[in-house]
Amino acid sequence: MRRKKLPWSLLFLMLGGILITIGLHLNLKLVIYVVLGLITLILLGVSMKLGLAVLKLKQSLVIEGVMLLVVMLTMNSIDRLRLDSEPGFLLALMRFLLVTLSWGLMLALTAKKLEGLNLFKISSLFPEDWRCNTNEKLQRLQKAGYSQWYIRLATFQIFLELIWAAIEVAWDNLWLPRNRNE
Amino acid sequence: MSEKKKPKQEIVKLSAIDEDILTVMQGGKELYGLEILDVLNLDSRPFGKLGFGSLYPALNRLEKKGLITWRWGSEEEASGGARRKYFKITGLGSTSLKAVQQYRAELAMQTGSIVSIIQTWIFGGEYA
Repeated sequence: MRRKKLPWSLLFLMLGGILITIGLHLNLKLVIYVVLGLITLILLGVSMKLGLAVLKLKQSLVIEGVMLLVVMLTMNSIDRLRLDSEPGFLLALMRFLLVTLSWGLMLALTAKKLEGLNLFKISSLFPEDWRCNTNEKLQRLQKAGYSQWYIRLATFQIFLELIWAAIEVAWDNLWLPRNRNE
Repeated sequence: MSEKKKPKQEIVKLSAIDEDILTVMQGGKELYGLEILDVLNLDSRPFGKLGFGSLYPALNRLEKKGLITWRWGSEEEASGGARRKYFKITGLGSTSLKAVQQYRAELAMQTGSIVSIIQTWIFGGEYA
């Protein structure tokens, strides 16, 4: 049952990220803050009622508060980017998608009673060998006696790394091989 | 009879990370992603540790260039229901790496003489 809930929360988050970015691009700060507030409310609703029933209210509020802070800080840094240029806009969009995606992942991680390993069991986003290597690495950390928080953080970090790797591989594979010496 | 021209051996340009990965595989042993990363991240590595984010795109690039090949590992070795992918260097990969290594070795040997040539060129007779 729980597996079906992850895409919904991610969908909300990604949609919110896109709206905020568009708002930023058009320089409509009021829209951005309203959307941000709505997303927070939706997330609270999702986490408490639908998706993350495992979470208690207190935990949910703390996690979302932290993640909201991250989003606000990112927004602050995005303000300084040149959004009128195409690369600046794309960069802002990418950053927002990553932040919102990581927010959703963090919530999903918490929903799974904070077992980092499960995140990769439910995730079929990445190639089989990538998941295998990640599992093995996390198991090593577990065997070495690292704390659950450390493992969760490592999982999160690897997940972000894999997202970047997937983007890079997909970009590389867009082009047909022309010359090996490129 | 004119002598037939010897076909020029194809050499592929390598980036620093390509070179590192191929060096790890040079022995001809099949290695999977995490194993490659373990070897690359030796304590003596002078610059930051390498992560999955750099490894996978590099492996993909090497495969596209025909410098490495791969095969799926067995089900018994699978972790979390996912199999390993074993990578192996190809003939082209080996040749390209050897060419770079040979070039570097020659470069190191000639450093002394190159430096003296440059000094003579810059300072002319005064330096000599």
